[in-house]
Amino acid sequence: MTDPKPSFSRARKWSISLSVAVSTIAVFALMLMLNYLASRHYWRLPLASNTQTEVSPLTLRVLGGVTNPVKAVVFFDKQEPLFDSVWGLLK
Amino acid sequence: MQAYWTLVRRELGSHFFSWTGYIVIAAVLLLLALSFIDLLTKFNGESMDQPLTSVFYSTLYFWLILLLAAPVITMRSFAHEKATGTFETLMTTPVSDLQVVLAKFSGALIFYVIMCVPLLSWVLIARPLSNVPGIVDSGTIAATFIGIFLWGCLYMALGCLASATTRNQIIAAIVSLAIGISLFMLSYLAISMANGPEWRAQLFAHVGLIDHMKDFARGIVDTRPIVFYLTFTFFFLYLTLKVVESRRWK
Repeated sequence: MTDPKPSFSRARKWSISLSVAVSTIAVFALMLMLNYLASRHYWRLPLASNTQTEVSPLTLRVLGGVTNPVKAVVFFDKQEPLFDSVWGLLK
Repeated sequence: MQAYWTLVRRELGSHFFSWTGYIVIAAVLLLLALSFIDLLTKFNGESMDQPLTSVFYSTLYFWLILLLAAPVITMRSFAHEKATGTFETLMTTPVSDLQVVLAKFSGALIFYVIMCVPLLSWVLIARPLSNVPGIVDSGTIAATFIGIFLWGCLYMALGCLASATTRNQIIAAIVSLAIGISLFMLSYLAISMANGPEWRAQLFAHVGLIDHMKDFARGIVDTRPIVFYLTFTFFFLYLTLKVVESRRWK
């Protein structure tokens, strides 16, 4: 007794596999683009009521007047309790 | 839409009709109790001006809950149906593959949210115990829960994908846990890459889940991790859909 004929030929299976692979790569590329855009244009919304998570309006005004890119170099021990707050403000 | 909600109810119900749902909730409650003891010890030992959520975030129990819950919740979703033979019955009903995938994901996510509700209890208990303003802040707690929810979305989608690829629940859980821990470990890679080229440091900082959660626990909602979590959730669900669809032509 012979085996039943498969529903899909080998060529058809390869064609569908290729289609799935291409669409997956396309979706992944789209995802990368979205993440790239998100990393360049973002908002940080502080929901906490304490002011440790926000830069003061005066600092914001000074930073708003800076026209060139600024590279901040911070020398700080990571074990310091203030490290996370400082790092958070620089983000 | 009616079919979708029926499937969600069925999926959610399956967690409560079996022992796994109760075991997961009991384990989370145990870890929460241990973390609460840890928190109280820390607050009694030294004066702190950090929010409660920041301290909770730094305990081992917090990460154990987040990392272990998803594989256990999602391991059943597809693998159990395939093993018991109900998957084919389900797929012959007049529901689309997309509806099935979304319903499985939603059911797991709703169960995850229910599992996280007891987390609020320590906030309610700690609030009267602390007289320092800002320690138990509603904004910080809201941001932390947004982070926990987004983490849940990502890891539930990952768990659904792992479950869809096999008919063995244990293998599904192990695969999900392995990929989940790998994603988590990228944060440590981000720390070691901080002194490398700028683009590489930025790339690894963007995928650093620990840093994302640190921000949420401090009460900051950043759009970058939100986009990261949502896009990866979408990607894993897309892959799950393709795996489910593959039974037609494989």
